[in-house]
Amino acid sequence: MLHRALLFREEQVHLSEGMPVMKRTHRRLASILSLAVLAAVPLGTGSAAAATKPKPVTIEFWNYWDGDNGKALSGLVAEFHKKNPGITVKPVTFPWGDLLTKLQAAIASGSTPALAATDIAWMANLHQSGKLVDLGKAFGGVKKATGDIYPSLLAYSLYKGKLQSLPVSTNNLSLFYNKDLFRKAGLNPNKPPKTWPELRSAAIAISKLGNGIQGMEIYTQPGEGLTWQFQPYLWQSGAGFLNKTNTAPTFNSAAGKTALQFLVDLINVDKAATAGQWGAFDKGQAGMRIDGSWMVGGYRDNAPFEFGTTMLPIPVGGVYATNMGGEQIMAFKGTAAKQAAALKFINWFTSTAIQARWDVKTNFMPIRASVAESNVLLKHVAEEPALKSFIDQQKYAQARPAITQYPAVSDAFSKALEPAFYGRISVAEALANADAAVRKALSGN
Amino acid sequence: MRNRQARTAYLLIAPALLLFAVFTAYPFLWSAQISFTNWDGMNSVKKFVGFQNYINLFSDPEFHQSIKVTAIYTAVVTVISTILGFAIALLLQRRGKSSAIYRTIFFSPVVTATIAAAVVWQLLFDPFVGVIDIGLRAVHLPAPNWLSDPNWALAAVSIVGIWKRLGFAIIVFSAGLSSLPTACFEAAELDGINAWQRLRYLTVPLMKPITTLVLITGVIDAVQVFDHIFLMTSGGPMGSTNVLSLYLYNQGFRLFHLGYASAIGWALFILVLITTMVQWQFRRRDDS
Repeated sequence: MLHRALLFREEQVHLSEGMPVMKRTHRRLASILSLAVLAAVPLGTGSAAAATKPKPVTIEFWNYWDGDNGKALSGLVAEFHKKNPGITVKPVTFPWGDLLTKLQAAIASGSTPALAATDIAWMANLHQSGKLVDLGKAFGGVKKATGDIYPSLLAYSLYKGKLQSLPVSTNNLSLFYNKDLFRKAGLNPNKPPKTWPELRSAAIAISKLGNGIQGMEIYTQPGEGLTWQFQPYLWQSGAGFLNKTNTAPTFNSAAGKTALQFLVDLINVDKAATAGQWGAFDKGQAGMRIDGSWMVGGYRDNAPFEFGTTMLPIPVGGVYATNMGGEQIMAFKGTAAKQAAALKFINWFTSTAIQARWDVKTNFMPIRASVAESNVLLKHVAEEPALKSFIDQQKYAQARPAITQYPAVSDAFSKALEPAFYGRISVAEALANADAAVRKALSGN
Repeated sequence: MRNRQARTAYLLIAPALLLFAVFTAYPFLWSAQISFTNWDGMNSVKKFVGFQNYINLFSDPEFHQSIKVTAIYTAVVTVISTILGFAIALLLQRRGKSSAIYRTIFFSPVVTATIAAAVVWQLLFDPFVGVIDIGLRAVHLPAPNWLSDPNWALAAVSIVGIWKRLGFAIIVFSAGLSSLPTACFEAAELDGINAWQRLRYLTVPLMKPITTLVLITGVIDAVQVFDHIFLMTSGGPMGSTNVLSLYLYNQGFRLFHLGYASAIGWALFILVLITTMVQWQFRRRDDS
């Protein structure tokens, strides 16, 4: 905590300087001042800050948190404003599909916001823009800046050893199931499937209800949606996705074939699922679906059926695995005053106390051990049983390769798999095609 | 005097010229420059790769597929909307005063926000709750899973394309029909022409310039189709609706291949240019 308190003051002193210093001198000044402040810490609460009035600064915070998440953010930002008069943070929300495009344009035209929070899947590309602030340097070293943040999340934060972003949320995939359909199909709504064979027989039973009801909804549209939903099946059956150095695919194996065959059979042999559009589960037209913790709040408030969640079923003799999602926050280089304000916000937003409340409001998973163990969060989970499976599973969450080619890799992979779901080509063929396409995407062509 | 007039003229077109320069000319040239790099849209370095992006187009099966899809979509939508539009305009002409109401009805899709319309069409095409399949089942016809079936998705998005385009064709044809020289028709009447001959030898030939206009704008419109397909199928299933502009968008803004996407954009531009030139050529030959 000490370093955080210290940083707080360091930045306030910066702000009070209020002069347009060059970046390098600014940093040097910072280190000198931080020494001075270090000496001042035991003296008590922010006398240095209280003495001078910082020049008001307004910064934009780009993100894609809409609905309840957007409201949660505005609520927290209002608190930040109260604590930090002189700083105005303006959250700007874009649709998920647009945010990266907007950032791309902003980076190209030199009009970046001071702050942004984006999908971890995009971090590799943002890191190499050369426009992100080195948070390690700003917060007194990577170790100090990250504290008890789970190391697996930092795979997306570090670029060439530099800390350029910090996690602000994480999540993973669980199995959602429609308890009403379970009852109708004569299944026990409190005993969701734990293994693939159990999942299969439940899906078949539900699809027998007719009226176009699917037992299990499977994501078959090409794109990251398909890839990110399918990866857990690979990991559970012992196959990989890419090798350790992220230079070659590893999914084209016997285990990989087992995983894909399982889903293909659900569609083409058991007729318990359909390839095509996504969204049947939301309408009560599918018994089960894999999805993330962010859906819990929405289903609780709006779903026309009773739902439950459970850890992703695994193959017999398989291992637990799920996919890790989430967002990271970053500061873009800008004027000294804006940058300092952005850093102050990041520091505050990623702190344990704020993160615990953020997670309660959004149903995101904790990024730090101290958040996971906080009373606020424990109480929330006790009240929201659908979250339990996600929390139990977070330790099995695997990170997708944090490389710039990942979007292309994921796209190539999903497109190669799609025909298999329609029964047009065999599983072996699909994985062989995917292997070739992914190698090509990795090579950057 | 002349100079001053010219100056006033330049001054008057300056705002439009400025907008054109900033939002059309500059991006146009910039995309040409990017198409020779492998830029990802964010990296501070834009590596020059020569004609590699254009060479890759030739061996890219997805690009070929998207050209095929775009060609089919363009042909189907343009031809059907033009023929239907012409037919409806003829029928409306006979209705006299009440035709204004019908024209308004047929024109409303043109001014409807495409995204809103696409959402509604998505519901109409739903295999379980959609009116289309419920209707088809009621008359014992096969009810396809429109947007999820690779064999039907292109048909579905083409129907929406025709629906959207039809109103424009009707308005333009109606205007054309009402401005045809009445003398010809009166003379033909005296010669005892029947309805079919009248259509075949008078109306259709006289309408040729209008038809060319509808066809050319129709092709330009259809080749660049994006929004309703983006929303309804995102180019799927199995690339069956992956038109060029969608492919371009996905390459540029989902996969960060901005250089390659720019090359696709230029290929699209050249395609539109060639088809338009061919169409004009046909027209000129007819005229002479």
